[in-house]
Amino acid sequence: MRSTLIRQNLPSSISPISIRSVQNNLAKAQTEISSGRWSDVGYKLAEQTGMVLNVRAQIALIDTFESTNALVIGRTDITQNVVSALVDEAQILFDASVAARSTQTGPEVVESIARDGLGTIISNLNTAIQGVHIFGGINADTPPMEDYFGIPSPASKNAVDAAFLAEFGFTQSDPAVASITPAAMESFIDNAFSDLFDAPAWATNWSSATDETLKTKISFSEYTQTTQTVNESAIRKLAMAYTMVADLGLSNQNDGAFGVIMDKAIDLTGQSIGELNVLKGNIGVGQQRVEVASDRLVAQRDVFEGLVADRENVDAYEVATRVSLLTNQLEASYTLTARLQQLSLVKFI
Amino acid sequence: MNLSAALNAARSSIAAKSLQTAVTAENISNIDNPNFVRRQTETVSAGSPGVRIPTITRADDSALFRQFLEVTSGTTEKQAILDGLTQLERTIGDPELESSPAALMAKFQNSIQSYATLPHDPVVAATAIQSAVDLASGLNRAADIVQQTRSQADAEIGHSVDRINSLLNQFHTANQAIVRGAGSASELAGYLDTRDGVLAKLAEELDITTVTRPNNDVAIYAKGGAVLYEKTPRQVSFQATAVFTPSTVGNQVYIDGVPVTGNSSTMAIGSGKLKGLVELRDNVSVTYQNQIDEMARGLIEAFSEQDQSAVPVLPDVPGLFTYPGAPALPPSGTVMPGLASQISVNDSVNPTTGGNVDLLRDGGISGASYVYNTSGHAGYADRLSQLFEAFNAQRSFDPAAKTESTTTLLGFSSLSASWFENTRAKATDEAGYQTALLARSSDSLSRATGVDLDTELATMMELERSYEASARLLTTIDNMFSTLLNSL
Repeated sequence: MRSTLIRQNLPSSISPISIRSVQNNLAKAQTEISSGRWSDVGYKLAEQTGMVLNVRAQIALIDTFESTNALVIGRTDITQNVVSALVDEAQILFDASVAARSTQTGPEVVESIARDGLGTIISNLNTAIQGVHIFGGINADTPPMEDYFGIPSPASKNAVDAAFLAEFGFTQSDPAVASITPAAMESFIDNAFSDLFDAPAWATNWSSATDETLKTKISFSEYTQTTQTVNESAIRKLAMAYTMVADLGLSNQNDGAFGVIMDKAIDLTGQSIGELNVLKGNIGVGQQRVEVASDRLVAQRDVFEGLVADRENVDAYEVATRVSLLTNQLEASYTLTARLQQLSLVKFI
Repeated sequence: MNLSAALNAARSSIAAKSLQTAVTAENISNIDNPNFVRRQTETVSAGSPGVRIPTITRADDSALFRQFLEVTSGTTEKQAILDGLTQLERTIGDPELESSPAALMAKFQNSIQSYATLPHDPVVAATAIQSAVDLASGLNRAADIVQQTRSQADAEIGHSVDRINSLLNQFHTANQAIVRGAGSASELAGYLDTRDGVLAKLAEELDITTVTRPNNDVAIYAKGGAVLYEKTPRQVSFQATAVFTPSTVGNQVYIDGVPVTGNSSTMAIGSGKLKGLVELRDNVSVTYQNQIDEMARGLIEAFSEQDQSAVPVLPDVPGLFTYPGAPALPPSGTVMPGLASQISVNDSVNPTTGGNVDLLRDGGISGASYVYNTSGHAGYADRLSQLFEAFNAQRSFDPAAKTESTTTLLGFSSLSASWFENTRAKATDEAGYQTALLARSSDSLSRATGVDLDTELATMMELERSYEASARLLTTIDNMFSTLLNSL
């Protein structure tokens, strides 16, 4: 506005400045009614602006956590399913081995169960969700294991073949397998064969997963593990049990050596089932934590949204009252000005 | 003898009434001239009975006028600051729009969280980089707006100074005419109106005091004591700066060779538009610029990379966010003027410049020694978690930014928004208060010195009656004379 002198012609007219301020206030109140928020939020908030920006940032962060937690929950659900499938597979081999040990079924049956099962286990462990291989540790974009009976033979099979040949001087399919004594078989399994399933051979021949797993932030202060690794001892033991039944020439073994393999398989699958159940429990606890965190975040968001609304939103009733007051005031000013115009001496002389 | 004296009295009365009517007519014709001060006539009895000589005076009120000048300066000062702040407000905007640096920072933090959940996904990575680019350009834009506001204020100081000089020349013309005392009373009153009008305009630019000398000569001083006008107008000088960069220091205003703005000034002006503009250019904007620069520095620091070799030997370098001074990091806790206009996302990680988005996850944006993800696995999220936490880590900020000196990056950016909006809210209130004060002051001044149509019309009716009476008197005396002459 110009700040020069404003001369007034009328003795007691309403000052144009006060009319203008009423008009401005009316315009503001009308915006506030239509938007439900203060017309100039920054002015109204003043030194609280930063707080509101902060709270808005927290709300946005909670929204982000909600969507990332949904991913995490999806991922852990699948992981949980895979571990359950592994437990089932372990149980199948355990049952089959027990049955074969008591010679209810022939070695061919248990061998073929193991051959099929090994493929199922590996394909389960190679599950990927949104491109993340959930058993790969942090090596997210590579399947952690290769198909054992794939063509060409993967490093895992080659290593087993080489170890067998080095120990006994012939391959698993050689009829001479029948000559392996129980003691020789036990020594092979406990040493050369077992070594293949321990670090560092495991990482070289079997797994491209890392020991380190992906940890994801699930709330303002908590992290949870969202991938697993095939380097877990439960999985190594399961793989070892399946491999010894599937690929040590079981059908040609003499009864003694066959018994040794079955005993080892029963022992390993038993241990593996126990460890897998512990893993399942851990994953379940993690899932629980994510869900609790998500619920808490939703509750926090309600509080935060309330904080923002308290500061940014207008009370509709208050504004409506203000509008009617201002309208009345403006009308009164106009009426008065018009009346005062009539009250000029010019009209009477 | 007595009869002719009565005739003289009646005649002088008629002459006085016609002069008074002329004054009323002048008042009415100037009813919409803001500088016009109501004329009034005072009739003084002369020596011989019945003869009265009317004199014209201006109905001015110097106390009210002085107060009006003071309030005018106060109003224009606050208004100038508020106008500048309203421009700067674009850097923050409505919190709902989430366009402030604080909101952009929070958005970027969110996209890092999303990326850390899906670290192998290049699409999520590209989204995170885009948020970083948005943040950097948000800071660039904010810095631009601050510089625009400063250079605009500087240009307006120049205009204000030009206006002051031209007003002083107008003042000189009117003042000289008054001092010479040339012309009729009515002309003189016109010059006095002009002179007051110039003073009112001058008060918009800076606060002034006036001293009246003999012969109604007026001298003008700025409030700090600098002489603006004494017998002759003094030169007010200012050198405008064409291009404003964050490190530019604007020139000061000189009155008669004496600096009247800036810290070194001993005769500083107290208010007025000039003062408001200088305050905006040298104080408010500079503090805000410091804050934006500190945000940029905080970001560069938070995203800097450390040497990951077994035995680290290399210094820390800027990572995701960089600036032309790289590879050196800006010194911690010290504002680097203009950093906010230079901050950018490193080309080596920005896909639009052929960069590799994975570097945000893996580190090594500034070189192979700075790679955090040594195994190269796609599921590596430790560095991203580190970066996420970097937003919440305490760091030190320059006290020149006038907020907390130790706080988090997000905390600092929201404190800056608080500081700004608080300053603006205060300026809005002050400007509103001053405007109301000015309206009241202007109102009382105009009531005291302005023309009221009703009063003028009433006076006119009074004059009409009195003229009629005098005319009747003349006729009566004339009749008496003719009776006398006829009877001879």
